[in-house]
Amino acid sequence: MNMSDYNKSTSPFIQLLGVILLSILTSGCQHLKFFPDATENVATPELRPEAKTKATTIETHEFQISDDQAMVGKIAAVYTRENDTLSDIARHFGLGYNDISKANPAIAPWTPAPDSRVLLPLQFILPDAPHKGIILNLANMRLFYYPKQPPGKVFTYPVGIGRQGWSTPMGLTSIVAKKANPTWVVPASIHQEHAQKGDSLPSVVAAGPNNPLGLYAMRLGFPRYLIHGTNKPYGIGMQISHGCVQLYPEDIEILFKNASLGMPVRIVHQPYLTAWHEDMLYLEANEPLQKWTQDKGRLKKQLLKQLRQVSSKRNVAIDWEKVDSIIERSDGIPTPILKQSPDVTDIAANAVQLEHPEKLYQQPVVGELKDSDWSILVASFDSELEAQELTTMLNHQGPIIPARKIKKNNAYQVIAGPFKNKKEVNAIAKRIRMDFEIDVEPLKPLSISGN
Amino acid sequence: MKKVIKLSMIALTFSLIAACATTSDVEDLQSQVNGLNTSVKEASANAASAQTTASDAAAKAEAAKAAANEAAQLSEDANAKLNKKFKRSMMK
Repeated sequence: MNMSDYNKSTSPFIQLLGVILLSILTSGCQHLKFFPDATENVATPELRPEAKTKATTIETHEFQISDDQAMVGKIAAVYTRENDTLSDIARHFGLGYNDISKANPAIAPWTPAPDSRVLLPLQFILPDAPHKGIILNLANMRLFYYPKQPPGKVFTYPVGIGRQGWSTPMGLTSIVAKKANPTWVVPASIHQEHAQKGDSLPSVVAAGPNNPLGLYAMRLGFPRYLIHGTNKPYGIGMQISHGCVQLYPEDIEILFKNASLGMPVRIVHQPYLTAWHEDMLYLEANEPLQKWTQDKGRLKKQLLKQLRQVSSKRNVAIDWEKVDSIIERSDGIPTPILKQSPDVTDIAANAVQLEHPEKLYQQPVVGELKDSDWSILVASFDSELEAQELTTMLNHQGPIIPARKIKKNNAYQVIAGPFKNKKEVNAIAKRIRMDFEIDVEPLKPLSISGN
Repeated sequence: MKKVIKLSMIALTFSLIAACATTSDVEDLQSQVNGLNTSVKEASANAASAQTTASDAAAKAEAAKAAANEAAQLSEDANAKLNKKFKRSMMK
């Protein structure tokens, strides 16, 4: 076929094609999705809550496990409402401050914007230790309890542990005593520490809201160390104790009832945890505690060696760059590490979307402040956000220091109250001065007015 | 011969007319060139002025960015300080 033959033979075909194309372009625009509708989102990085089916509940503390199971739970997410804090959300879902703040580094913990999507790291790799009694992993501040009856279960709770210089001891011990409504006999070292701050503690603190042991205490075989509740629940997930292990009041109540005398308690420090789960290898990395900072290189080397062995034994390819980035992130989120496996962004996107609970458990509620009440002017800020931050921190004290921000002229005042009398005002003022180093101003009744 | 002279005269006349027209065009062109020169000078001056303004704006933007960064850093420091105080308040 020469060119003229080609032209002759294809000409009607091209004409027909032209007609079809023209008809598509003129009439088909409405049907073909070359351009999205104005109302349609081109790219939705995360679905709005109303567009996704939301779950109302999720397992947070109690999980069924099989003999060889090394990981439990699921990653979830919830949208914040006005006045929520990450601490409120953490407590409601059985997480500690460390868990939620590490998993949501871009969200201001005390002043999250309403409708922020908060990731709930409710998937846990079990520590590498016998599934017997209580196992406490200091690195992620999480306790695991394996009951004898019923078998095949694990309960997990976030904890507060010893601060730098007051480390929680490690090793194997057991529960040697249990006491409900304990009194706190203040050790001499703590007396001394408070005296240095200008605070005097009684030698014995009776059971009640001012008792830092909370309502339940279990003595460990390690002398002077306890697992107990707390009157400062928002310190869970922090290194805040003198070495004791603290749980949320609602968690210690359950553990206290289930734990028996003689139950083994093993305390470990495992910042890097691995698990095979549904044919996938997972790695959870946590920053080693300050005491082990010097050992970070050794711990990482140990992990890499272990992973190389697993890779060779199971004949699987590990994404080593991903391993490095997980260690760098150290956010406590179990992440798959085999090649071509989903990344943390996929995990976040596919997290179980939860309905916001009607009320977050024990979320502080501040009563109305009347002109006739005693109160305290804590601080004044130009920034509303800074005022809000201090306000929420006061509301999350243990016991609570009720506070609110009030706009006055062009500033935002943080006012604490109501208080019954001058004595209470002075006691609270002392607490705020000592802990927050703020020179507060007690206000007599009728001396407060906002606009 | 006469015909040649006639033709020469006609050609000369045309050439003179054409030459006159060419001179006028050149003058016009010169005038345009002069005008353009002025425009170019004005444009250069404007460009220089715009460049100065742009430089000033860039410097101001840089200063504003530095101030914003400083404010953000201060705010971050204040937050970190406040967080540390909160943590201390949680100790028993």
